[in-house]
This record gives sequence, structure tokens and C-alpha cells, in this order.
Amino acid sequence: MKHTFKFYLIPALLLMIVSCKKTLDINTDPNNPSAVPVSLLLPTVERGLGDALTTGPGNTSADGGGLSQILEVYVHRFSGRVNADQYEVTGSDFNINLPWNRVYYSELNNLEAIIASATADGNLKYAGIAKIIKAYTFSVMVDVFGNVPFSEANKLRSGITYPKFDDGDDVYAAVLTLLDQGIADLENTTAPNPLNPGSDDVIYNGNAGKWVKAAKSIKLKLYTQLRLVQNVTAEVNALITEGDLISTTDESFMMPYGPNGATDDRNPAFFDYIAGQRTNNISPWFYEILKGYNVNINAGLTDPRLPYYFYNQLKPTGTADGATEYRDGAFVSIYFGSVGPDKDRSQQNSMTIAGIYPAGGKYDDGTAGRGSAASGTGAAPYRFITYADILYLKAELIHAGLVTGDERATLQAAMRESFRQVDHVVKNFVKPTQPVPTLATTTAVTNYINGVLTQYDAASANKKLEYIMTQKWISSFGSAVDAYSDYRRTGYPILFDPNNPAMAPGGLVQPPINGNPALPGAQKPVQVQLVKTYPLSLPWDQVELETNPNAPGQKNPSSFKVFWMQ
Amino acid sequence: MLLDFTWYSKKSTNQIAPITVPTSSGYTSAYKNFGEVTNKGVEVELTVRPLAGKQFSWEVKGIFTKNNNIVTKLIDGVDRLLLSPVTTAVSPYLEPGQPFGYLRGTKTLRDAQGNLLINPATGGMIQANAANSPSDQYNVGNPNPDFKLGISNTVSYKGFSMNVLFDYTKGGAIFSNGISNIIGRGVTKDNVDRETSWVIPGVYGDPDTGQPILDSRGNTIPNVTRLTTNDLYFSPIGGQTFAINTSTEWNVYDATVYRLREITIGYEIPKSLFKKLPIGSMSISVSGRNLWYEAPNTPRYVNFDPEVNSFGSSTTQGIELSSAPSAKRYGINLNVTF
Repeated sequence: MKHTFKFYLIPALLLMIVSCKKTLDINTDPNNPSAVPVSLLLPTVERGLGDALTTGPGNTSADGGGLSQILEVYVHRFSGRVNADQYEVTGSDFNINLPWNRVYYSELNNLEAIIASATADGNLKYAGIAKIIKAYTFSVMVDVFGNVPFSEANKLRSGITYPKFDDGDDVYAAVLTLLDQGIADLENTTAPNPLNPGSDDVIYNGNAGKWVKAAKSIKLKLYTQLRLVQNVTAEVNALITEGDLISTTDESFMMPYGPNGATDDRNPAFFDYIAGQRTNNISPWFYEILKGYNVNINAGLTDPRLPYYFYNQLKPTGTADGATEYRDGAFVSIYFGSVGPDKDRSQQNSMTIAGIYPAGGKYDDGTAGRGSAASGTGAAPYRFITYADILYLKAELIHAGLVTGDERATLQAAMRESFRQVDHVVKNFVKPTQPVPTLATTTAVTNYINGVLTQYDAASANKKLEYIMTQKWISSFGSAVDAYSDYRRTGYPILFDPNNPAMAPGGLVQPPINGNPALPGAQKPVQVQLVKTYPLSLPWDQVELETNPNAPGQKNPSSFKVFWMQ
Repeated sequence: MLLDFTWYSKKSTNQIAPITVPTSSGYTSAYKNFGEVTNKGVEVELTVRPLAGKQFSWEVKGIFTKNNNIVTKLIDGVDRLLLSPVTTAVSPYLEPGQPFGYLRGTKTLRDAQGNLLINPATGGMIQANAANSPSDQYNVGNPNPDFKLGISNTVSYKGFSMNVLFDYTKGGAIFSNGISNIIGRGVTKDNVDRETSWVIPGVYGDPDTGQPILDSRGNTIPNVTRLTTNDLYFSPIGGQTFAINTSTEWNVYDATVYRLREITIGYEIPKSLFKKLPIGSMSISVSGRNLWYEAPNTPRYVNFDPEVNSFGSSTTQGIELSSAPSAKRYGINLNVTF
């Protein structure tokens, strides 16, 4: 009996030792950590920002896009059977609700967590990057929504359950301060920085200098957007003179998406290739300007970016799924505001879709074929601010007389850079399996740029601005937020208006008469209509308004201006 | 004859419950003690035995219940709370003075006389939104029924017994995505006539201002714009019709339903048949559940069952998002005791 007792005592003692070491920690949830290392949060917020802004046809958080899904239609580069057609997006729209929640629930929470923990630990590079991302995010929220919760946002734990909506100009002022703080954090030489961002910073790989350039470039963009309501001459000149802006192609501020590897890192824009029902048609308005069909702008000039921008599933004489509304050889689409009889027909395997540059899809080498998951890598970046954008901003500022310089040469450089940007994206990001020719060095590009400049030279002063803004609009395809702001500020590019008798005489638009191989010489005109006026901002998320008693009543998007509009 | 009558009035205060908070607060919901909810109602049970013989008996039992569940108070400074976010088209809400979990969604515009406003460009109705009316969202229905009545008849004769249970639910609203899709996609006999064109009764209105369009003499203009059957149930762009892509209110139906809930026929097998076996008693019964129902205020051929609910017995009621239909069930029951 004595032996048996001893025998049992050993494991019992062991158990006691183990249990004594453990304190009662039932209030700590091991599955949901309350503190996350900044290096894990940073890639999440970077990708989240891309997701909140990019296009994407789906309605789940995996394949659903952000604000550009609406705004690409508002700037007439996409068209489709969607609420954005007819400018009818409401606050209940999925592409309002999803980005709104992404920004407030995911982005802001994680950004505040990075800023707090990085500041406490002396990791000022992380803090600086987070501040710049936060500033950029909220500048976009103001650009798109006007007034948004900012100063009281994300403060539930300090007792603010229902944040007020701040005026856009107050948010802008705070954002500019935040950018300066971010720059100061990144340039702080005395910071201990026990942790430095590296590959976890998927945008700039931890390069603080590039982040500073991005922050200053954001400032240049914001001041340019302010120019109609405030004298920004000193600010923009200081930034340009200092010369610390994004100044090469590879310094562009972009969210790099990746392929479908161990994790699915594809740009949600690519999901139109996989969708059982494709959503995003290419607007014939955009297509015709690139083809040189539009007599008002770039007439007679074929844009060499066409096969990089659009992918035609059909060959020029191929058979479409059904009767088409707009066809120009291989190009199949529908009009904005169409009420034509063929608008609602499925063109799943014949419609033209976004190509390799905006969506990481297929380069249109003329072989045609159904778009599918195998068509491309989907690794196209979402472009926040590119070097080309900086050049276009400069050209606009010179045109407005705020900055001295050669407007024509700046436009020329901007166009060159836009083409280089395409090569850069294809070669260094999308990395397609199909062979894709280099674009920027071709004579077609040189001829196109010279052609545009010839027209530009002959244009009146206002028309010159139209050429600048139209080139910028063409260049930013896939990233629609700034194009929407630019249009509301400058009125350019000129967008399709079904009520304009010059664009749609008698409410009818005529597709290329010989465009449909099935109906040679007889492609039918299409009836279009539009009841609403152009939306000056997007409606607020309806769920936010329904749950926040401090929120204003829903706006009328046709009359609610963002503060920087005249 | 037996009568059982209950009247109750219950007030619940400061319940702990998650409240939906705006995402701009950084969270989606927070647990709080709040509010006041009253439940007032009656329950009446009446049992009548018209016949009670040794061989033959008949009993009728009726149960009537009526419950009024009203939210009387929320948190100070909050007019209305989202009970749970369901879809952007419809969700249940809490609001002082309103029934618990009433449904909010979109409505179409009407003029002061209650005529529907019609978009002259399309012939479809115009959705009320913040630009042309006070709000985007309105009360579109109370999912709680007015009352429920159950009547059970039990007849027994010698070893046989039969029980018939009949239910009647009066009122209550149900938002049905199923009906919307079935009608809108034309897979029901309700809209089999596709060769006609239709005019929605109403007057022309301006979608931007939300006001009726007036002629030169200041009168409203009756709608004469025709719609195809297709468009009448699948809203054309720029107009709203009656099933798909329309305002929530057109997909909210009255959930009144008559139902033959159950019939059971049983037979107690006489002991004389098995007196040599070691069996105490033996009975057999055949039952059928949910044998027949009729929801008179839903489209006839859809054969919609308003008891189908996507959220089970949760606080979210009156919302059906293409759920599987209800089933009839038959059973045979043999009961042997030793």
C-alpha cells in the first residue's frame, strides 16, 4: 500500500506544480489577441485602403470593390446595368456600405492601433506611415462624401458612441497637419526605432524617403484641389521648389496587389474575369475618345494603350452572345443611360472588359477568347498617386497661373510618363504569362503624343486645360477617385450627357454605323435618357445614418457640394 | 365547458442587449443596459365538450392569444435603433412607440391625395429618397401578428380517435424576397399574361423634387405610360414596379394565414387480439402535419407560406430571404407497451 501511494503522488505533485504556475486568466481570450504587432497590422491597412477604393464587381468583401466601382461609371469609363448608371446610387448601395465600413471599422481601428503602439514603443517609422495612410484615407473620404466623421470617429471606448460629422474643410486642415506629423515621424533621427518596417510595408518596402515623398505629393494634390476656394500659390510653389515629390515611375504611391498564390492577393477589379455574370462594361464614351472617334478631343488619334486598357473577348467578326447595342468590330458594350432594346442582353462571353493595366487581366493580342481566371494574374496595383499624376497636377497648376513653367512640356512629360507607367505596371506588378510588348518606346506612342500636342497647340486656353485633364483621365483608368474630383473641380474631361442634343440628338446616339459585322452599314441608333443631374458627391452610408443620431439627414447628391468646389 | 382567461401586462426595463452602433465609432455593436419594453395581451382558452358518452365523445378546444409588444423607451438621445442589420432593403428596428422589431425600408412617393407618383420617362414609380422627401427609410410593416387562434377538435369513438388542429394567424407583415423573385422572374401563373401592357394608376411626378407635375391649369396629370408585363415586375432603369429592384414596401405582404396544422387518427387495438402475447397495450396512429394552408393576401400561385422566416425564432421576424418552403409531414406511430 505504501508503494502505491508514492506512485500516485508523483503525477499529483507534477500537476500541482503546473497548476500553481498558472494564474486564473479566464478573462484573456487566447483566440482573439488584444494587442497585435504593428508589422502584422501594416499590410492589413495598406491592402484595406486599396480595397476601399478600387473597382470590383462582386458583393462580398473578397470580390467586392470600393468607391471606384461607382465612380468609374460616374467618370464614364465603365458603363453597365447598375445603379450608378443614371447616377442613381443611394446610401444603401453595397459599394457605399462596404468602403464606409472598411474605412471606419477596419482601417481606422487598425491605424489608430499602429499609431498608439508604435508611438509608445518609439517605432516612429510605423507611426509616420500610419499617419500618412490615415491622412490620405480621410482626404479621399472628404473628396467623395463632403462631410464625414473624423474628430470623434473611433472613440467608442472614450465614450463617444455617436460621432458627429465634421465639415470637409476642418478635416482637410487636420489631414494636412497629420501629413506633417507623419513626415516628422519618418524623418526623426533621434527615434529609437527598435522595429523598422520592411517587407511588411507592401507599398514602399519600408523606404522612409519614399513615404515622405508620397506625403508631400498628397499635400500637393490636396492644395491643388483647394485652389478654387483658397489661394494656395505659396504652398504649391514651396512643395515644387523643395523637389521632394514623387519624381520617378517606381516612386508612385500604389497598393500592389498580387497573384492568387498561397493567399489570394488579386485586385478585386480582376473578379469580373471570374464572375458568372460580368458587371463592368467599358463605356463607349471612353472607348471612342481612345479610338479618336470623338470629334471634340483627340480626334483621329488612336491611343496605343487600347490593348492594355480593354480586353475584347470577341474577334472583329466574331459572333456575339446575342444582339448587341454597341459594337465596333471586336468591341462590345452598352451606353450610359441606355433604354435600348438590346441593353439588357447578356454578353457574358462577348462584352469587352477591363484589360491588363486596370485589372491585371489579359493583354489584348487579338487572339480573343472568353475571359476567365486563367486570363491574367489579377496583380494590377491600385494607383493612389503616380508620378504621372504629379506631372498632370503641375501642368494644371501652371495652366491656372499658380506656378511658373512650361505647360506644354509638362503635359508632354506627363503623357510620356503615363505610357511608362503602363509598362511599369505590366512588367513589375502584373507579371503576365503571355508576352506583352513594351509600350512607351514605340513610334505609335511618339506619334500619339505629338498628335495630341498639335491639337493642344491649336486650342484656346480653356481647351488646353481640357487636353490636360482628358489625358489625366485616360491615364488614371482603374483608379477613379481623383478623376471624379478633377471633373467636379475643372469640368473636364467632358463627359457623356444623354440630355445634350449635340451628343444625343433627339435622345438617340449612333454607334459606328459599320461597327456590327452582322449588320453592315446599319448598326441601329440607341435611345438614351437621364433624369438626374450630375452627382456632386456620393450619398452617405445609409446604415451609418440610421444608427448614428448625430448624423445629418441623407443628402441630395445632385446638390451637395464638397467644400473645395466653387 | 371550461374557460381559462389570462390578461397580462408586463414591463421589462434596463435589459442587457447589444445595440448596433455606427461603424464610425470603431465598432459594430456594444452591450448596454437600456430601454423599456411592454408586453400586453390576453390569452383565452375555451374547452367545450358537446358530447361525452361512454363510446363517443367530442371535445372542441379554442385558444386565442393576442400580444402587443411595444418599445416605450430607448437610450436618451437616440430616436431609433437598428435591431440587427439584415439587408440594405429591410431591417428590424426599435423605436419608442413602435412595435418591437418593426420593419424599416424604402417606399415609393405619393402625392398629397395618396396617388402614386410616376416617372414620366419610364412609367415606373419613384422611390422616396433623401433628395425628394424627408428620408430614405420608412416604417414598412409590423411583423407581429394581430392575434392567433387555434382550434382543436377531438372525436373519439370506441378505440378510434381523431384530432384536427386548425390555426389562424391574423395580420403581421412579412418581407418576402422569395415572392419578389418568383414574380419578378415570371415563374408563376400569377403573371402568365405577358401579351398585355399595363399602366400603373397614378399621376406624373418629378423624381428630383418628389412633387407631382402639374399641367397649365395646375392639375395633376394622370399616368398613361404603358409598361410591358416584364417591366411591371422587374423594374426598368429609372422607374420602380412591383417585384424586383423596387421599394421595400411592394415586397411586404400581409402574413395572415389559415392552416390545417395537424390531423391525427389513432386506434387503440383491443386487448382481446393479443391477449396471449406478453403485451400490455398497443395503439397505432397516423398523422399529417401542415396539410393545407392558405395565405389569402399573397400572390395566389406562389403558394407562399408566411411562417417561413429566414431568422428562426430570433428577434428578427417578418423577413424571408428566399428560404426553403415549408414541408408537409406524414407519420405513422405504433405504440406498444409491455
